[in-house]
Amino acid sequence: MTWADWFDQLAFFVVAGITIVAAAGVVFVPRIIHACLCLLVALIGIAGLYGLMAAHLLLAIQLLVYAGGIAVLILFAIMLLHRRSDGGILGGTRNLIIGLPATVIVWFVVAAAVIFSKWHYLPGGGTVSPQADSNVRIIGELLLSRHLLAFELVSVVMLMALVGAIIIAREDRSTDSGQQVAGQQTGESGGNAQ
Amino acid sequence: MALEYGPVGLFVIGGFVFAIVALGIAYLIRPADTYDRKLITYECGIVPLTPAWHRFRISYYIIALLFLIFEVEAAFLFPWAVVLRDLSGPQAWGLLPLAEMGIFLGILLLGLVYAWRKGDLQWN
Amino acid sequence: MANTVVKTILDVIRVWAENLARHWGIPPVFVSILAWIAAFVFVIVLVLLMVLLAVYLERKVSGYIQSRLGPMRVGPIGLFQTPMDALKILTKEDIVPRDADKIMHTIGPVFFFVVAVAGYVVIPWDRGAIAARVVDLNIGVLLVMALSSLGLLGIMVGGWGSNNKWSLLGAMRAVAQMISYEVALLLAIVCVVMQAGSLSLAAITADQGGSLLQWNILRWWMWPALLLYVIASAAESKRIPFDIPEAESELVSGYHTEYSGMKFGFFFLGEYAHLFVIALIGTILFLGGWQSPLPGSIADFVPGFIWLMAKALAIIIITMWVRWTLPRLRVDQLMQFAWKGLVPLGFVAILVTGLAVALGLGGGGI
Repeated sequence: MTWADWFDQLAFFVVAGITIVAAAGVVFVPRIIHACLCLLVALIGIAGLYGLMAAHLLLAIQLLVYAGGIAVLILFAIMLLHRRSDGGILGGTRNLIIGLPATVIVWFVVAAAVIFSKWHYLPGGGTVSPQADSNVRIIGELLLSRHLLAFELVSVVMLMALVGAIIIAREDRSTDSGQQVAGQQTGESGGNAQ
Repeated sequence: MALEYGPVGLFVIGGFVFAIVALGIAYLIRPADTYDRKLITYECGIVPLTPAWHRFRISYYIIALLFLIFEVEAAFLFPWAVVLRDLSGPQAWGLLPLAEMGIFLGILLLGLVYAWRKGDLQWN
Repeated sequence: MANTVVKTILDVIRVWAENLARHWGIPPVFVSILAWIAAFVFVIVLVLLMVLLAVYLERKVSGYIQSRLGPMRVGPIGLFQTPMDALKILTKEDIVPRDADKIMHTIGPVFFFVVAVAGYVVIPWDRGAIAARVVDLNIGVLLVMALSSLGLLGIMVGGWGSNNKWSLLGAMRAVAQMISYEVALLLAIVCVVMQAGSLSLAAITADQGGSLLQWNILRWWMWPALLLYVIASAAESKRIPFDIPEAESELVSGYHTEYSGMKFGFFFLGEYAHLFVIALIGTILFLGGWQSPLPGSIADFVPGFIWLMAKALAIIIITMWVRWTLPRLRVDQLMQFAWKGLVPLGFVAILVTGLAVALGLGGGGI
């Protein structure tokens, strides 16, 4: 093993370790906002793993969409909740009884998906060329040719997601709008009084 | 492959090291003259009655959702943008790549128009 | 020419270091790591110097716009004012509110600063492949955008951790504003990527080579994207007219109300580092990066690094000029402008640039 290989291994174990510790933190940390912070670290760690696999576009998208977008969405969702600063969000044993089998099943499904998938390798014998843009270029060409239908359907899915989310959010707003606006107004009116 | 993104990792580690060193130096040379009154959360000079962690309005959430949708859209736009020039033109696929993205963006534009019409872009 | 002289000197240093390492039996990996450390030190020193300079310029520009002189007492024409302020901030007491979430209160500014500095890793400082440019990543421009978008999480964490109503409201507003304008920023960058056919910042620079007329700012089909970038980047750096997050007349000091001492310093550093990186990206995307305006003329004797810096500083001074001239927008105007003005404009920009590029206006290539 050369030093470069050794360095590769070290980088992988450090990044993977951080990701796993952070992921465990998401589950075990009692305060939801801290769990959200752990999730952010885990998402960034996954971006690091993509980087180690030279999946350039995925790295950028992971950072941009997941770490930058999903994390903000979750934070804003927490801001909408009632009991976010309370201690325990973990329930009693009832959650454990339902949760444990569910977790095991999900784990097996994901593992099966990973093991039994036919992995398509890029041209070049399964390795990724470090040449500038090659990776992104191939994805772009495939999106516009072989996977065109899926690509166009993605926009339909996103449209549905957007419309659905807006409708759900609007129902929420009509039920207890007074409370939310009140929260906002304490901040604003304080500013005026000053 | 770790070598390729090594500099990014090093910049992140280096940034944290710099921050820790700077905070450490500040810790060593700064005064620590705290007393109870000083540690009260600032709220226009009155004693705060409630913690700041109150509920926020739903508009923030909808904006974050719109942002997420458009960021996913951007994630699809970038690989397309990279190959657009090479795939366009008479000797390649002509205007087809542009048209394909046009359909994609057109469908998404419907979402923006929907949010606009329903007043979710309004910020009261 | 001076450009090639700089590159040759750097090449000589690199070859010398590589030979020395081989002579001593040091594996090349460690040489690379040393090179990265050197690059990091270069960037952090540069960032600190630029922050000092930018703060000084800000005071001077605001002074002259308001018919004052700005700082004049400390050093000649007040030059030592900002270094002294930097020293002073180190010695300031660190007051953490009793009710604050102390971990998050500390992580917020540090995270904000770290991601702002990490963005510098992909900047092509000069034409050389080494030292000048740390690494020419394939996804350069996307990586900068991704890292700069992480900064808002630092703001959110800091604002939440303070447990102060002003801080939290300021942070929420900051995040809402930044995510709204980031969409516009991404759409503007897509246009430049279409034109250059690459995500690499070096390739985007090279696409604008040849002459002044090749710069994206002078290509008419890039103008919608340029307009979009100028407005959205001003909003991203949270400067007037877009400084709602820290509107002092309504939010005390926004998300850093409860910060003092060096933690405040990191928010401050991160903000100016972010401003500078946005100016650098703007330079690379639209002003030809490190290239001199008149290649082949006497302008080539100025190294590319100096050109890059000069252009970025010009952008910074213009943003300061804007800042001290315009009034602040209201928060509802701000949000609606992003979604009802800039995002549709982004679609128009993509259409215009896309048509121009698809019809072959973009030129023969790199």
